[in-house]
Formats: sequence, C-alpha cells, structure tokens
Amino acid sequence: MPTMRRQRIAHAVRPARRSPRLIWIVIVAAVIAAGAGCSSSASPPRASGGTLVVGVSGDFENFDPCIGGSPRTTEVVASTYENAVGFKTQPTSAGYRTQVLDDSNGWVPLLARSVNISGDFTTYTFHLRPGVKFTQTGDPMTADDWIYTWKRMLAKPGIGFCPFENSDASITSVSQVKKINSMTVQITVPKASDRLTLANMRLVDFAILDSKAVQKHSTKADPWGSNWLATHSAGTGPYYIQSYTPGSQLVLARDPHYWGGSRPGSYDKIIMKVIPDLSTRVSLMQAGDLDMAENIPPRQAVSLSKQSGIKLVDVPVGNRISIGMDNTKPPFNNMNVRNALAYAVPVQNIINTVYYGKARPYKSYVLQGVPGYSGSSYKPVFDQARARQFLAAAGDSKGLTLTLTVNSAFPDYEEIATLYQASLAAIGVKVNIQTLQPADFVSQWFANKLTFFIQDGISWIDDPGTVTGLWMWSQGPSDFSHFSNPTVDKLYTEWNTQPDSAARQAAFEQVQQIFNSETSVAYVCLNNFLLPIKGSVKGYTLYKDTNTHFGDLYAG
Amino acid sequence: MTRRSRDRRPALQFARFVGGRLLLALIVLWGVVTIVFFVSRVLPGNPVALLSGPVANPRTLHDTTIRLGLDKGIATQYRIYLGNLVTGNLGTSFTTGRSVTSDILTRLPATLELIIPAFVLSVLLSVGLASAAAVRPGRVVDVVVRGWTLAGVAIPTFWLGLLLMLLFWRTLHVVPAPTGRLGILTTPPPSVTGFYVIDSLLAGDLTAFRDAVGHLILPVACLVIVVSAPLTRILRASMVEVLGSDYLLAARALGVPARTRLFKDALKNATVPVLPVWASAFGYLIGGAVFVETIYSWPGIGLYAVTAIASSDYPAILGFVLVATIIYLLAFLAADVLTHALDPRVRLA
Repeated sequence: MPTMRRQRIAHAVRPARRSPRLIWIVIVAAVIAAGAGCSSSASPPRASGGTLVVGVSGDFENFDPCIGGSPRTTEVVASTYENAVGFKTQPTSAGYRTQVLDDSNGWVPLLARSVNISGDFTTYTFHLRPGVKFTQTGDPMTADDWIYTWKRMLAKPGIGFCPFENSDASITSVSQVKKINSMTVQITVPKASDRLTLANMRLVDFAILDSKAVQKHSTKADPWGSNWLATHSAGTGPYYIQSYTPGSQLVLARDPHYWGGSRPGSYDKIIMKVIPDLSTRVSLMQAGDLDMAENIPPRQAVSLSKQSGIKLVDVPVGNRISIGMDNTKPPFNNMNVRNALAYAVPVQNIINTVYYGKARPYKSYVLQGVPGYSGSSYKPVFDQARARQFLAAAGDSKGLTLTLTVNSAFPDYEEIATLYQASLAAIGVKVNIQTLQPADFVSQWFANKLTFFIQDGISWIDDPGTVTGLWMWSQGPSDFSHFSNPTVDKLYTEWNTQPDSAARQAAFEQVQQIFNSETSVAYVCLNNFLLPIKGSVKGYTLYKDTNTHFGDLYAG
Repeated sequence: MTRRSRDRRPALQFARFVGGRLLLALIVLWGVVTIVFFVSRVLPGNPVALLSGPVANPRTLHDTTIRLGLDKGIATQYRIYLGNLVTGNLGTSFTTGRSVTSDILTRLPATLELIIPAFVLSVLLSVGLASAAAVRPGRVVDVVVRGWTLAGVAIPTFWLGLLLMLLFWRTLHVVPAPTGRLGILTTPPPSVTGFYVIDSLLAGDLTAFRDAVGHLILPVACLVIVVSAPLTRILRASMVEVLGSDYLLAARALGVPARTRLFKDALKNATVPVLPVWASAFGYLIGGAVFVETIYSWPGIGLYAVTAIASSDYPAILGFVLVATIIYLLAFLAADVLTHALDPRVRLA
C-alpha cells in the first residue's frame, strides 16, 4: 500500500493544540481529542499484500447470488464466487480492461476447464477444472456441487432472479442438468441458443455453490440455506467474507488456497466502508483515506481526477438514458408530438452541462458496434424549429402541458429534466417536473404506470435479440413505452434463439428501423462509467454490469 | 398502622405509578404500531416490484409476493405481525433478508453511543449557559447566550456537520477522519455491550478506546450544538421567572448565599417545567441524529430507517418506529419520575 495514506492518517489525528478558552463544547472536544491521541496511527500495520479501502455509498443487501442487490453487493458476490464460464475482456488504451462489447460469444472457461458444444448448439458438456476448492470447507469442487446449485436455482418457490436468468438461458428443469461423472456435467437445452445459454451463465446468479456448506446451514423452514447465504459466502472466488458489520463495513480476505493463485501485489484484504454522504466520500478520497470511491457524480469525479495521485476510470458503457413516452396514451400516441418532444431534447447541452463531456449521444437501443446495429432511422437531433413544426402538425397540441416524472435517486436526471423543461418551454410546451422517491418511482415504472418520464437501462448481454426482447418486443419487461408492432414481435420470436448469421442481423436491423422510425422513445445519451481510484491501483477491469471484480486488482 | 407499613407506602405508591405508566406505554405502543402498519401499506411504493426488478415475469412477482407474505389479506398480515411482535420477532427485512430484530440490535448501540453523551452534554451545557444568562438578564453574558441559542436553533444540522468536519478534520487535523465509529484499519473490540467505548476498555484495548472516543467528538459536538440551543432558551426563560419570585427575594433578604440560591433553590424549581422538554430532546435525538449519522458515516438506526423508507421495507420501518417509540416512552417515564423527585407537590397518579 502506498505510504502516502499512512502518513496522512497519522497526520489527521495529531493531538489538539487549540486554545481551551472557548465555549464548553470546544473544551470538551479538545480534551477528548487530546485523550484520543493518534488513534488511527496506532492501527495494526498492513499485511504484506496490502489493503484496498473502497468507499461505498450505502449498506449491503443480500449476498445470496440469486438475490444480490445494488452494484456494491454484486461486487462482493462477484469476488467471492465463480461461475462455469466468465467474461471475456480486452485491454484499453487507457491502461485498464473492459468486457468486450459484442459479447454474444464473449465467454471464457472458468470453473469449467473446457466446454464442448454440440453442432446443433443444444448440448453443452462442461469438463470441471481440477484442483478447485471451496473457501468455506476446503472441499474440492465436484459435479455434485453443480447439480446442487441448479437444484437450488430452479427450486419452487423461486429464489430471487435465478428462475428468470435460467429461463433466459433455456434451462427450466433440473432434468436438463446431468452429472456424467464426478468431473463432468452436461446441460441440454431444447433449441439452439448459443448466445444465451453461455452468455447468461457468466452472470453472478449462476455462481457454483459449496453444496456441503449450504446444506449444513439449511433447516426445515429454510431448505436452501437462504438465511445463511444472505450474510456469508460459499464459493470458490479469490476472496471470502471475513467480517461484516451491518451499516458500517465489510471485509473481504484473500483465500490463500485460491486455485488461481495470486500475482505480486494482489490485495490481502478489501475493506468496503459505508460512507453514505457524497461530500464525506469525496473528502475522504481527497485526503487519501480511500483508494477508490464509488457513486461519485461526474462533476466531483472530474474534479477529483485533477488531484495528484488519483486517476479516473472513465469508460463508455451502455447505460441508455432516454425519455419514455407511453405510445398508447394521448398526447404521446401522436407521432408528431413524440417527434416534437424528441427534437427538443438538448442532447449536447446535457452532455456538456450534466456529464462534463463524459457521455455520448446514441440512436438505437442496440449499441453502435454491435453486429446488427441500425440507428439510421432515428432522425431527431436538437432542433427547436423542427420541434415547433411537429407541434404545429400535431394540431390540437397547442398549449400542451405535460408532467415529466423523475427518480430522485439520480440527481443527474433531475438536472436533465430542468434543461429539458427549459427547452420545451421555448417551443411552447409547459412541463411540470414530478420527482418521486426511488421506491415510488420504480414501482410505478415497473408497473407501467408512467406516461412521460426519464428512464435508463443496461443490457448485460449486448445481443440485438436480447436488447429487442427487453425494450422493443411488445411483451418485453422493459417496454415501458408500450410500443407494440406485430412485425417486430414476429421477427423477435423467429430470430431470437437462432445462431448468429447475416440473416439474423438483418432481421434485427429491420426491428430497429421500425422502432426508431416511429420515435417510440427520445434518446438522450449514454453516460460513461466513472470511478476515481488511486494511481497505485492497477488491473482495473470494468464489466458490463458496472461492477468491479476485486480479484482483478493489484497494487502497482 | 405500624411504622413499617407507613414506610412501605411511598414505595408501593411509586411501584403502582411506574406500573400504571408502563401499562399506558403499552397501549400507546400498540396504537403507534397499528397506525404505522396501516399507513406504510397505503403509501406509494411497492416492495414486490422493487425486489423483483423490471425483468421479473408474473411468476417471479407472484413468488416474491408469497415470500414477503404480502399475498395474505392486510388484516391477516396485521394479526401475524402482532403475534410475532409478542415473541420479540419483528419479521425479516425485505432488503437485507435478515431479521429486523438483529438488524436493529446491531445498529442501536451505535446510535445510543452517539446520543447519550450528546444528551448529557447538551443538558449540562444548557444548565451552565442558562444559569449564567438568567442571573443578569439583558447583560452581556445574556445577550451572547441568547445569540448563541438563536444560531444553534437556526443552523441546519447537515451544514453544521460538514462545517465542523472541514474545519476540525481537513483544516486543523485535530480529529480523525469521519469513517464512522472507528478508523478504517482499527479492529472493533469484542462485543459485550455494543458500545465501542466501553467494550474496548473491557477488552483492555486502549488503541480502540482512543479511536472510538476520537470518532465521537465531531458528531457529538454537532448534536450538542443543535440540541442544547432550544434547551438553553427554555431553561433560561424558566430561570428568569424563578429568580424573580418572592421566595428567592426572601432568601436573598435572609442572607442565603447567591450560589445556594441559584443552584439549590432556583435551578431545582426552574428545572421542573423543563423536564418534559429534555425527554422530548432525547426522543428527538433518536430520529434527528440521521443527518449526523449520514455525514459521519455512523452506522446507526436513523440511517437504517431512511434506507428502509426509500425501499418500502415495511418490517424495517415498523421495527424502527417501535424502537423509537419505546425510547420516547421511557424518556417521558424518566421525566415523570424525576419531576416527582424534584417537586413532591406533584402527586403520583
């Protein structure tokens, strides 16, 4: 660990030298401060591999891989468990790695040493990696652990997101998962879905569990050990949960027997400290008490990166920010109104003012660069004159008054709403901004009750079929704009589970052309993932779910 | 009536008084829990949708509803909740998946370790300042004290918290970084009472003790400034009134020393009407500490409650309300007992 922080901590708790001739409270504070002395400086010295201190913005939820919660909780799961296959990554010119953009086949073997895929893409034979041991029991991983993991994932009633993710991977019954021998497992799926079965199996939900440890903590009332898994880890990952103080901090310790070994500089401990207040998090990062600070908005992140010793992980990711409009309800069922509202989005102003340039425009939910991308049919650009023309063409929309709903959890979205409100006022549309508490916004959003709102979303798998299934298919779980088109539905159903081909890509290009030509949503921008970290932290790899896997990091 | 039975009467009377108050407290507790139970369920925000996520299919939504026990009628849910409550089971938090009782018991000592010293120091400070100000109303000390209390009442807690942090931590370096109850690298002492200051002493770990005390300074100072201001104002007004009363003029005429008049006669009488305010202040600290807990990363129950509200975590919200109500009720019970001790004219009823 860098010596800078040690010096800083010692400096920060120097005994008080203030005059005692102040008001009582200062006397009391000073006396106690004098008594407190150099508290942190007397802390035990760091272990040889070093400690990484991460400031997170809230408490952790549930460490059960099927349940998880916020990205910080998923980071713990992703660092304590491993899956049959992992994410394929690539280096960037900025010195860190990212997950490959088109990851429909972007997997690498992990707990499976190799995977044999049948010619018709329906049978997957996993040859288990020998020598892998679970942290909890030290027992070797065998096919029995895999079978138990799938039994738990497909249990009734379902546990968390596991049933959904398995269904997306075309695995709906335990009978599809067979033990061939103690080191070989075979999974069969009803129809070819190469991009979905293995791509899904990289997600944290599919973590292979230590069956003995979980069964040991299972009871009649809790047959799958869910209560125990909520606060413990039972995986093969490079780290294990050493201690957890609710609301305060979580300590991950490196498993000395990790099958993957360790590289020079691998961190012995990861301390994830809950620092809920943004100003405090920024101050601690500035003072050198944190090695990494999560959930820092662009303005503060850019400002922090100007400080010596701090660098900014700045990666374009696919967080799609858009203006949602219920295509079935007036006035949004009128395409002229939707066009007017889309032409009035001050995209560049938002990118410059709200995101300090750390964002980029986009024209389709399928991201540019993904095979099968087509953004040419989305025409709107910021043009208030055109917006007025569309408004006039809409006829009865004179003196339009709308309510734009925003989630209060995202201050940047509130800023977007304010800029958008001013832009719409200039074309004669009055907008009232309705800011809802997160629980209220999300439940109304998920229940399809919002009509005009700022939304976002990431697809963990950037396959055009998956993206269509989320946002453009009429039964898609994220089709919050109530877009419905029979041709799109037909193309999706026909091509989603087909192996990749030029014809498949053409089908999804057609889907986007239909969706975008109707201006079903107004695209705003894709904001970058920003993470201020100390310059001494090396090996950072960003995954699409915007999570850090601590096993990647080392002190350089 | 024998001498012994006469001696026992006040004790019996006192026990009856406390028993009656506790019974009343139980009724109030039931009322509060009932109101919050029903109100939290009609407020916007659906925990099933939140926990299931946008990609949930109807089956997942259905399973989540069953898992949370929200498929049953609200009357049945209420009956089950009350039944569990009697056995000390506050249910399972929707978001943490852990028992609310254990969630709260882990966080309560952190909040109490913060608010007990804050309360004691606030009371001591308010007594000192109010006495100094009330002796000579309108003079310099009084004007300064009144100005101070006005500022204390007007300054927003979060602003004061940040200001103290920047001044004493970042600029003057006299207190440790605001990393919660201990420094990031300090190992917490083995838990006995849950209070780090006490547990570290019990374990003989002076490093942890100094660290724990160091981390208490700023959040406690922030709460003391905010809470002592209204207490000082009210006590000062009461003291000015008492100091002008006939019996103190008589005491002065009889040559009773000024110190005795002030601290023995005036303060005792001026404190009686202020006691319920002290009780309120203690109760306020439980919920009001949330800003301080947020700024100083203090893992207390205030922060837990805010997170629970943001995610419609009904059992956690109810658990917090229950604990806060109990603390309020105990504080008022203590105020009643003290009132009787200070003023025998107040009958135990």
